[in-house]
Amino acid sequence: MEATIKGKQDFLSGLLFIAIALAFIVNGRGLPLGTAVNMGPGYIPLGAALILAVLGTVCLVRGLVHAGAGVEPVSWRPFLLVPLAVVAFGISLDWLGLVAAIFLAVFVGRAAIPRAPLLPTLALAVGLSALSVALFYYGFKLPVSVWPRFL
Amino acid sequence: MDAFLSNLSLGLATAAQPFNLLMCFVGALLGTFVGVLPGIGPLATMAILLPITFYLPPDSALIMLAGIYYGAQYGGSTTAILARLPGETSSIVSTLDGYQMAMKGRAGPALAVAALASFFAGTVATLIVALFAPALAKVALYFTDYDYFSLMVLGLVGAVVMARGSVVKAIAMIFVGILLGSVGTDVNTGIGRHTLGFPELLDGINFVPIAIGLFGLADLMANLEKPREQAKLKSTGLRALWPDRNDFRKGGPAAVRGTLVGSALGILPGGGAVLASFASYAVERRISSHPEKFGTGVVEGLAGPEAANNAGAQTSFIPMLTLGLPSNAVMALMIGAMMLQGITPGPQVMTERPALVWGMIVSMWIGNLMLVVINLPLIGLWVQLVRVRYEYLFVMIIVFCCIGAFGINNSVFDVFVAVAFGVFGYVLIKLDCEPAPLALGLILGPMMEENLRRGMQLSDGDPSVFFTRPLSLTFLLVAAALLLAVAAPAIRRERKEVFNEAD
Repeated sequence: MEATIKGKQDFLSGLLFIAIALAFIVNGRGLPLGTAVNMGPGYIPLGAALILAVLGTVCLVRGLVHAGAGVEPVSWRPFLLVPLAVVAFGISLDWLGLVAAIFLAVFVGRAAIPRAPLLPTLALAVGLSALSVALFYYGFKLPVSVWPRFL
Repeated sequence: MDAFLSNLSLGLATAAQPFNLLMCFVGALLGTFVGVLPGIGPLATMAILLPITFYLPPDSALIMLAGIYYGAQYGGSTTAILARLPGETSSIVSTLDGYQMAMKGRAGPALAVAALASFFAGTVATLIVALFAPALAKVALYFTDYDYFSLMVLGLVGAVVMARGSVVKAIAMIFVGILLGSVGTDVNTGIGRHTLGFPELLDGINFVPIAIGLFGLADLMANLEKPREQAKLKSTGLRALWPDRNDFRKGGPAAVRGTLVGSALGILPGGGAVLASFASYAVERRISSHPEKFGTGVVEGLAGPEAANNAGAQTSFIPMLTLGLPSNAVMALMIGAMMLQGITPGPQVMTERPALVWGMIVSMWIGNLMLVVINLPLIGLWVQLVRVRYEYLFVMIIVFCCIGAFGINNSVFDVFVAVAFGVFGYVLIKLDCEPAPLALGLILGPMMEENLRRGMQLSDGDPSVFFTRPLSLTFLLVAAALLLAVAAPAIRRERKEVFNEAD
């Protein structure tokens, strides 16, 4: 497999585009297409998806035929922990409140870099919480609770 | 001329309101700040701040956002010159001759040349915007659905041609954007499309969390993998700040040429600060009598691109203000900000909201003046910012991304949208697919669909009208010519050369 794909970057981009196109085509099956005069809601998305599929195929074939750039390895720590930090924030915000959500995001996010020292991280979390509460809760009046709901 | 003056005075009256002055200052300051800080750029900053602009009056919101954009051009060059760290992509070129000047003990003059060239370019570009925008908007009022559709096609093709990297991928990214733009309730029938059953998606995927994910979180994840080099600062030679006569004699004309190149490229679809600076460096080297000296601290190699990136940043507002067409991702964000305020972008904005448009145009000049004042005396302070460790900075960016995504609709759903697009954006970076065309497709897709559908209805399903209307045909022909041109081997080489100049 490795030897036959000459431009991994192009090949995988092609795959990605085709997958996106397929997802939109399959998901949009039920949408009325209409006619060219009276286009239905499904007309343009289907058209765009078909073109995307063609472009994806071009990319894919180019990746097979032409020698091109490879894909740099993914470093898993940031790739997993940065999104996780944001998810943690999103899940906790409603019932744990702003401060706890920020603490979670800071500590999970900080782990994206190995050997994160504890004390500066704690200071950062405290500082960011104070700033955010002042700015967003009191300043911009975001409808969130500062502390956990159940307290 | 009378109209020109009354427009400018209306703009001055708006921009000089104390609150707007403050917002202009905040924007310029923030822009300089993120321009200096590597790892966060104007795009991510503007995306994160978009939700906040919702609480501001429209003119103040746009004035602040614009300030971030051109402020970042100033800030980016400071670190490029002093530490060889381009804070922004548009200041990569300044690391060549600017840093070399600093190495030769002429850091002060280099910074002054950069600031003065930028200020000169900013002044000229402001006038160009003020002169050209109304004329263009007037013409645009006569555009039919067909013309609009074809113009948007041209805009998107332009964005592809100007993008670096593979053309096929860039076009594909546009279609990904168009598909994402189709999510939500269909305007004509009221049927929900591609909502996957989420009621939150009936209004479409919000642009802000997408931008935060693609330009904020994704960049951050990619930045974290790079080894951090501690900035080495050049602190000598800051005392003698003022450029000498030679700098003026050679840098002056270069700044004028850079301003012209930048202004022209900024107006073009797909143009903007980045392309302008690269192109100006190429121009300067080509016309120079000593091209071999470039890269050793030649003042033209600094003054030209510095003027160009600022001019390009500003004139790229012209298509956005007059036609509602974003020429780059930053302008897509500006359009997003307008929509948040309930303003439909398009040529009617100029006539319906003159105070907003002219206030913003004049604020650019005021902002440029502020930037010279913020930058030159405070250089020492800004330089210290380079020492801010990314390991602390990135955590702050994460938190602000979270709150920004939430704040747009006060909905946790948008936070998850941001995460999804962060991961998607990271994959795109790995595959070397530029996210900017996606942003343009996302903004333009729904407008194009509306124009196409209405146009086809009016023409009874006959697509040939797009080719028989003179304006529409012209736009399509130019678009086709551009596409053919990129395919031509000679231009392809040239394009590669322009973009790789700095490598």
